[in-house]
Amino acid sequence: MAKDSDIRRRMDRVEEIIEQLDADEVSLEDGHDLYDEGQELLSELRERLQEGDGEVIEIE
Amino acid sequence: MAEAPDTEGQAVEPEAGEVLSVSQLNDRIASVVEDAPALDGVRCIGEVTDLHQNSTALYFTLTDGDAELPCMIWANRYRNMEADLEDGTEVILEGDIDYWTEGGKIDLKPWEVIVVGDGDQAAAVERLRSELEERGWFDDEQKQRPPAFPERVGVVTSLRGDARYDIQSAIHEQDPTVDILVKDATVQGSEAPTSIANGIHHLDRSEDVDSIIVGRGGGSDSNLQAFNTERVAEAIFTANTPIVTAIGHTDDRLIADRVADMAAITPTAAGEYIAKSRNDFLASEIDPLEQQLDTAYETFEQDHEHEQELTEAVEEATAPEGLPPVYYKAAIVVLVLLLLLITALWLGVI
Repeated sequence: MAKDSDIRRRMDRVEEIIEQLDADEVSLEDGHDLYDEGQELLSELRERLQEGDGEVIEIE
Repeated sequence: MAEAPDTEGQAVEPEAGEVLSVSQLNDRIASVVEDAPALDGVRCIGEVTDLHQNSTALYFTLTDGDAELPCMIWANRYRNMEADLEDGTEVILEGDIDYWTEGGKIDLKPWEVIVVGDGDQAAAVERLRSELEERGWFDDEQKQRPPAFPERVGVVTSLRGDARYDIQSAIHEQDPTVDILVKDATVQGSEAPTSIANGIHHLDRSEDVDSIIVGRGGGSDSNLQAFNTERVAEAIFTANTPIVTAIGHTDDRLIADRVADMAAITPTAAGEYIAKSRNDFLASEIDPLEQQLDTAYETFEQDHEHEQELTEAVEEATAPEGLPPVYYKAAIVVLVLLLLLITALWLGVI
């Protein structure tokens, strides 16, 4: 299964978090939680991009 | 048809054990070809394919579907002919068979060209093209975009051809994590349409294949006819998986290219298109997104720190100086009691 939807979903959430922080409508504690969530998503994105063995399989 | 010449008598008999240089052997072949009366002034009918020209000469392949022969007409001679050749034109050529010694190649050099009409093969391809266009098989609405980050790409091509290695290298250059499933197919000759179509069906049925490349290296037009057949066109059109063609052809005349979701000129270009570059994506999308997040949080944190400092300062400023109110109240009570006691003593109550 292509990785596109996983990648897009995580990127959309990170963008949403950035917007929330920019809007400054949450408490300091909630803002800290959002930032941690964003960092976690970015790290998952990098891991997802590294997944796979790059095998070449021949079918006669 | 003229009888084959007895060339043995004309050629120089090789001495036993003699080792010839390539030039010597080519000279010997040239002398056999040039001295063979059966190869002088031959007339041949066939279809013009793979036509190209430069300022010096016009080159093409004459084919009857089963066999082909390279041909060359000098540019100045062609200008004086009334013939207007293009791919698919059926012609009768009259000329000599010539052997090019340096390149070791044989060709027909016609001095006369008679145009018979459009070739059967070209006419059949044209009919199919019109029919498929009417059915809407070439419409943009039918195209689907391959995913940018496939986990597995299927490739239909010859396992023995160079195209598969070009495709593999290009895909793994973009993203080394992509699995590649190569389905062997015969890409030219009479069995090619069925072989290619079966390869597409096979990979399309594999649920974990995200996109498919149908490819082969370059070749003369007559070797590409499998990609102009309804069988291959139908396999591409009915596939649920996005299909990219890489047939090694520079124009858009091939029907397979028109039906496919995307047509790349070379196998390498197809490999580069089918998988997005992971490094480029990290550098252009993910790294900037992380920077944006860091910046947004820093600004957010600074704003809240100022806010907190301000609140504390306001609380400090509004707080009364001296002892807490409870001490004042206690002192007042004590003073009142003392006053009552003094008054009572003064009045002599106590």
